[in-house]
Amino acid sequence: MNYTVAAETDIGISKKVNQDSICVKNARTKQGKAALVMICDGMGGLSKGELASAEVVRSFSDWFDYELAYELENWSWRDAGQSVLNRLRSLNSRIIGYGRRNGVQLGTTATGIIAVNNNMMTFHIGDSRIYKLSYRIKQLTEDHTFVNREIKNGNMTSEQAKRDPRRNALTQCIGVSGDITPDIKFGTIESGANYLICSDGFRHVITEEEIFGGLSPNIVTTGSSMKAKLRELIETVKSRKEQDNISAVMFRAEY
Amino acid sequence: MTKYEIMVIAAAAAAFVVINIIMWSIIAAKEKKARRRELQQQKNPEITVAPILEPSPVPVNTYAETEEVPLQPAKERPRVKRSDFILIDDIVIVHTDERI
Repeated sequence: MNYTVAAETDIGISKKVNQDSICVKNARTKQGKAALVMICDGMGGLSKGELASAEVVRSFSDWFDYELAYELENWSWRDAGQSVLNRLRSLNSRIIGYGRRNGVQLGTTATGIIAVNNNMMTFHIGDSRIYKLSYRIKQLTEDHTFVNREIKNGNMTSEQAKRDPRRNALTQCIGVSGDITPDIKFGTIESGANYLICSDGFRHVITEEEIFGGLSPNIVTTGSSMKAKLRELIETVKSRKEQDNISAVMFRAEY
Repeated sequence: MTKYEIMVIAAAAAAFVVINIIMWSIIAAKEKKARRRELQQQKNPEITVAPILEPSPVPVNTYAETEEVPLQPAKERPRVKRSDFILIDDIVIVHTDERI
């Protein structure tokens, strides 16, 4: 069993602060391999989006470093799912409280993968995405956006959604509304597939075909090649005048 | 045609009918199963399209609505990294030193 990970982030061409936060961890444990790969895309006024995303990433990072080893002794995916859910909801309350106390509105998306040996869990809230790249590219998460909800309800086509001024409006994220319902799913890791997690800034101006062409598991197999290709795609995105911060992380397991 | 011959033909016909009934029942059951799977796939494409993520054994989004949020960590443990837990990659990128 071998895990490979990589991460890249860029402030982009127009923002003054990079509000994205990233956590990529890979560990060898008594029970086998474990990894945490996640992206938080912060948003908010007064440049506090980076605080919301950092807070979520630090919380998960601390959990991985200090708690996971104990939890692995009696590992249960159901309990792990519940624990992630509680953590996200607790962070949501904390960030909302901070916003109220300081008169600012801040929030963040949170999307990631927790892997233990050949199984995985995905957690997701907001409009960052997880893609699986094997013989084709497949989006594993569903955007929590207004336009996506309208498409699902049959009120809007994909083409209309691309032009709609509300296309970036989120229906849920951490730090905005009291009640959140993150998507948490469980599954088996496909050996030799590449998993990509990216912020919306990464994928606004490039197509899924371009992502697959650049990061296909046949081409990109090592940590250094992942990093190089992610950087290449980020430069492409910047050359196309994307206005947002741009972040992406990759994960691959072979067994 | 003798009585014996009629009985043989009747037995063969009966066997043919029974085999047909069994065969068509199996085909119908398989088709029904395939239809159900197709319908479910249309409803939840991200879950049912194998082999990415298998259907969740836990209806997480339902218990999200019912359980309380513990604002304190469930278990207090010493904040010490265990020696049998070896970090191979450790990348944490944040863009502020401020804490909430």
